[in-house]
Amino acid sequence: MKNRDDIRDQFSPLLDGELSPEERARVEAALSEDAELLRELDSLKRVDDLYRALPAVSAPANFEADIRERLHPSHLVTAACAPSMARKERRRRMVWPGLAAAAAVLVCVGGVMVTINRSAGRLQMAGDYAKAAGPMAQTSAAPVYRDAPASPVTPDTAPPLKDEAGRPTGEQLLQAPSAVEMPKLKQSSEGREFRTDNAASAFGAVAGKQQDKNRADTDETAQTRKGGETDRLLETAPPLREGLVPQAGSHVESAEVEASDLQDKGLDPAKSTPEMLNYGKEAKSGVPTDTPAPTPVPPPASAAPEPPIAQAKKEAAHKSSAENGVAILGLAGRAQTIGPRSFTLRDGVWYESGYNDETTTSLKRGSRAMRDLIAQHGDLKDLPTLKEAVVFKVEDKWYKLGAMSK
Amino acid sequence: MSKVTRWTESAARAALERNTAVVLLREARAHSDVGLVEECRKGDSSAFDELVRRYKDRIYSVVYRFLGNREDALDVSQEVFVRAYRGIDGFRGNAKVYTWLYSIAANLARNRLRDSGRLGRSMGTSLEALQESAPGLADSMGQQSTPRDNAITGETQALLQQCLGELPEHYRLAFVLRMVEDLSYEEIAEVMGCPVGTVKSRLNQARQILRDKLKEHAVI
Repeated sequence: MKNRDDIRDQFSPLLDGELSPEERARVEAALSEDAELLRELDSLKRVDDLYRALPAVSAPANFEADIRERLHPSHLVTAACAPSMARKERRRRMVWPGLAAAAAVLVCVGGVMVTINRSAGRLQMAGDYAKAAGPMAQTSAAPVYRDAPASPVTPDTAPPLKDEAGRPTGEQLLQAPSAVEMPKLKQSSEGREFRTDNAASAFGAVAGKQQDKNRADTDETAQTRKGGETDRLLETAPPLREGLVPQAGSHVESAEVEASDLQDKGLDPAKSTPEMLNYGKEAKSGVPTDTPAPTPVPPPASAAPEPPIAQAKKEAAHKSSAENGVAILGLAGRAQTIGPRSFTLRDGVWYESGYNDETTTSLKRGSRAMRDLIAQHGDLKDLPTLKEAVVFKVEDKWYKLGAMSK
Repeated sequence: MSKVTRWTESAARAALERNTAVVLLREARAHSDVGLVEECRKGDSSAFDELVRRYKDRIYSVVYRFLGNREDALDVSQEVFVRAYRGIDGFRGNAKVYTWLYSIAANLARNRLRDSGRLGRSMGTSLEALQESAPGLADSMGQQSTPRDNAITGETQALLQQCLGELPEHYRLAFVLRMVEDLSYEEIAEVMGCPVGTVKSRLNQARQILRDKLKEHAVI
């Protein structure tokens, strides 16, 4: 019986021609001895014959048209272009992610541009302020730095600039940056509100370059780097705070106290101090760096009232800086402070304080490397506002950002 | 003894010749089918149209025999080409185009069968369905039969289709692929995604079930 079942299992392959010759011989041998098996096989063959005799069915005439309609429901699409339409559809699906990525890049670039424009706007506003204040300053009866006989700190009364070893004294350390930065910091009636941590840091950064034998003064100055202690510093130097605060309109005039004046007074304008405020003017390059530092001459306490427009612009500029948490000081001088970093302009390149001919890594403006650095160090975000090349330090490594293309 | 041998030999020879001819034809077509698919991938619409023209009747026939309903067969077989068109990038070059198409057809047809079953419809077994589906059945039922040359009557066709529709799903598919399309066991296994031995077993079972059913209806 088992043998018969095995043979029955081979009926289908036999009918379908799927048996090997050996298997077929074995089945034939079994069939020759068993008539019942042969009849079963014959019945199966009749089944096959019946189903093979079924008429072939053909697809309806509208078969292909319906397929096209399914693929592209719109009647506007012709059948001939159906596959190409599908390909375009696939491309569209592939294009969307690309467009999204491009949009993201545009948003990022736009953000950078907005940041740059804001910075440029601050520069422009400061320039407008200088222009507005300029005529007033020139016609003002108030004496300016160079003509400030009533200054509480005069060259005659000023403390010695250098000690016996020729190093700057602590007084110079305070005076030098104060003569530059304090006018801006104190020129508004709001006064201290505009003194930011960055300003204090800039002050400290400049001071940090000096080797003062008066350790107390240096330490006190250095504390200002930590921010929020400028007032305390000012309290320790009331003559400076009171005497060095210029009046409105004096900035342009004071800006004229440039290299020549400073050199006359033995002050190195490029290395030692931020320059006099010179809003809206291009920084001059090629300033000698080995000249002695002069003693800043503060203006008198009394000064002409500030023009309302200039005052408003100045306040707006300061407010903008304060709101953005960035203080850009000494914008057009040969020294600038951007955030906590101080820069000096030499030969058309802004060098961050502390740079001593170390090897630099060149960076292009807008490059990925620069963007990454800015992303990692937020204090660098305003560096690109400087038109000239900028040498700056990040994590013990010096970089050189190329000049802005004209 | 000699009679049996002659019988089996003639049957085997006929099957072998049929299979050989079919295989040769398929191989020739398969070669050009891959080229059509490549052209279709490149966006040549005429290549896809050619594929449709080449296989629409075969696909429709298989689906119709499997479902036993023209309307569903038309819908499913058209959907086969739509799916093939949309998934033509996923076609593997090592497979044959027609087995790929049959695979899509088998899946869609089985899904349709199950959906119809959930909806309470009986595919290809009701008299109404038979009248609708069997060509010539309306003429033959209640009327004098007009036998055609080498053709079976519409009633027999409907009966055959009914019996086919009563087969279990897997048996039915294997039998249709073999009887209607003359696919080899390997090709059927590829389409159904099962071993060749399983195909052999299913075909054997399908034949025996159909034989018993047709005997009940006194067809054989």
